[in-house]
Amino acid sequence: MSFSRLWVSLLLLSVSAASARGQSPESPETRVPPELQSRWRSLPPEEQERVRKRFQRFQQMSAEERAALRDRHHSLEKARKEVLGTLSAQQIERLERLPTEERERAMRPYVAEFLEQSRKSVLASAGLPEPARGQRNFRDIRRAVAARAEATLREFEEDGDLEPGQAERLMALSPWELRLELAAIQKRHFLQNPPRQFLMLPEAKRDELIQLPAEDFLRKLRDLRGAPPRRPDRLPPLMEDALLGRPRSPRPVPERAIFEALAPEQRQAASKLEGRERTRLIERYLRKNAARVLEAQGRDPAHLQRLTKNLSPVERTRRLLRIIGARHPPGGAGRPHRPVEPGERPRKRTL
Amino acid sequence: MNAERFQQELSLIPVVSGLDSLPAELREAAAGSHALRKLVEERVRCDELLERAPAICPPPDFVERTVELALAAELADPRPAGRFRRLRASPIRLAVAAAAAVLLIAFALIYFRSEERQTGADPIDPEMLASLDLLLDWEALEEHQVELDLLASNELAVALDEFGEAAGEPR
Repeated sequence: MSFSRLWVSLLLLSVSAASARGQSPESPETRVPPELQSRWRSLPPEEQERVRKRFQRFQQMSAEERAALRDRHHSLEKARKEVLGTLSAQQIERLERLPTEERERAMRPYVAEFLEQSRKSVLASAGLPEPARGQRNFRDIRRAVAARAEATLREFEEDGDLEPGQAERLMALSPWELRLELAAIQKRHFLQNPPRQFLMLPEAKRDELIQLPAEDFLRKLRDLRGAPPRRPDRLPPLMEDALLGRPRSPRPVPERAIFEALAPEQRQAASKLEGRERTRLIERYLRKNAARVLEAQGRDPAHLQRLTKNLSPVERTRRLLRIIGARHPPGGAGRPHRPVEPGERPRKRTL
Repeated sequence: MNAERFQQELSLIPVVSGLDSLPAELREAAAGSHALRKLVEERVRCDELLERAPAICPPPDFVERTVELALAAELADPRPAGRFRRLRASPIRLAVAAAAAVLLIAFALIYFRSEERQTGADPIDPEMLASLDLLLDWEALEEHQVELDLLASNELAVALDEFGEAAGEPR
């Protein structure tokens, strides 16, 4: 580099340093959206002080507590949206004219009412009595559901509905993040192999759907299919188990996962039968295959009886599959990687 | 007579065989100067050579080729022309320039920092601002903790249920 060029670079450097003074990475003004900055400035000094103190407490919390608080905040915002959905256009217009702080203050009683109703509805669905006043029940519901969710994720992985190692990664997420991620995976799996009805939609409509966030995409799909809305008085089994303090009911093994553990001729024979006969034949085949595996490992096949003793049908099937070592190849959501054979009719029927 | 003029006069004479073949003025000058005498001796040797090999003469395109070669050499030289050639950076100059750059930037930063302080701008923690909504809702989050946890847990259970159902669906 010539000396003259060096001087030109120097000049440019100093000019850029001067122009970037308000935008340095340390500058808080650049990393935060302007609307938040103006909102902060609009707060009265005593409110600013309160927020600072809360932030100090927030920083002192453990990572788990902070994640829980963030999840609660997402739920609160969702509750606000639900409440807005119940208001008339006139009421919404009146609310929108108010400044943010006043709007939220005005909505507070409605949100509280909505949350109270949701709680009552969940408890009633599980057949649980209303706790006495001041009784801090269901404090650990979040943890109880999270523990059961972990076991369910492991089952998804075991059944080939998640890729190997994916359950472990998902377990590290907060419940809110996990929900969004599950929806994203479900959307991805759907789009990898969309059904014919979806492909028959006009292209513009399909594109519009694909652009939606995963949860909205799945909701729209359910509407398009004409699926009945989820009954609010029926809780998902996992939630009911957690509320009642029951051990988690294991997930029924999808027939697709079971078929993967059968030999082609066994699959064909099973697919010709219906009902209990089919179930019994499949179990016989699974036992036979598991016994073969034990024999190949130099273990006594009679040991199988002991291994599956006192297990529920679902647990027994899972144990047999584990012995056979049936695993779906990665590809997600249990997409079968082999073509469906003639005469085989996979149906939504589980053991 | 100086050497330059002597050489010009000498070049006008077609054949030089010795001091005697020179005009009187040039002969006189050469006789008084050893350097001029040397020039005459050179010229005599050249003329003798040409006399011995009269076929030696430059090719017809000699001038054009010489000019082309000179231009190519000039273009191939990456050095800047003219006075910039004198400014080629030495390691010492580079070190001085780097030190000057550091000083310049440091001064600029100190100046602007002090200016910022004088304007009295309140430093705001960007992380705090990013969580402003949550911090403003703090009381509601504490008050409705159980309800919000129930709601979020139920939604997660629904999501897991729907994921399982979709995965178990026939394809």
